[in-house]
Amino acid sequence: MSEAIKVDIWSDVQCPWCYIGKRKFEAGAALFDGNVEVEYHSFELAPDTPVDFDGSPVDYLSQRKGLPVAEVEQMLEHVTGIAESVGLHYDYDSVHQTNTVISHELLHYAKAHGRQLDMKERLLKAYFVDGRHVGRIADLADLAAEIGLDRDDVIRALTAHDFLADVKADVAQASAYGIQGVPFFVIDGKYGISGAQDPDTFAQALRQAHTEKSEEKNK
Amino acid sequence: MSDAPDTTAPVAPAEAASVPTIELLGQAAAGGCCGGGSCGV
Repeated sequence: MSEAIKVDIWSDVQCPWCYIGKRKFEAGAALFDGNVEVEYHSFELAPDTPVDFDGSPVDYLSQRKGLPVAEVEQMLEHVTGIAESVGLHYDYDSVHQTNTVISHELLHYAKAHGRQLDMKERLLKAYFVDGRHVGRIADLADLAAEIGLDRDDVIRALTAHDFLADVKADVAQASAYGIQGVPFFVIDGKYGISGAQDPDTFAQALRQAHTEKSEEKNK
Repeated sequence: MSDAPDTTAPVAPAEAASVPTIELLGQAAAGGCCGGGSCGV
């Protein structure tokens, strides 16, 4: 069996393109005839957002970006349509805009327990599809329990912020790479892919990294 | 009361891995999110 190609992905739980990009990357990885090892990293799009933001995503984006409500609604309608095209049924009327730092801490907790990929999928679906809150410890612990993690231990770790330093390290590394938007994919530590690109782009990058790795090995 | 920690507080980050130069691949205009919401197409 060939050596896995490592893919590091910077992403935020409340980034609509990150969930779309996840699906497109997964489709690309399926086209690639080889092993892929994925690790998610934290990126906070809006670290100053309150956990209990009083308003809708439309209110939030309109205020934050200084755009008319109609324009924001059009943006969300557009991204919802793209999501639909990859099989994701976004429900923006139910979304709870929040602060995602603790959800990133949970992703690091899940990584430490070998469940990061399942947790990432659960959090994205919770936020965009299920209308669940992903900013409060109790709600996050419920979601963690749904994938089989120990609810009480999750509450303990998140309350103590055991993984906050790991979140900060990811954010610092993103900054060092010059990452300004997400999703951002780093293939085998060599190639960067920004945004929700087509599956073929990911497959091609994986093949390229794989070929180079094989050539290195045979030198 | 907010559950979120003050992310500006001086918590020592775990050591970031070394950062090699990366080559960008793909289209420049793919959809993505930047600070404050969706950016890109």
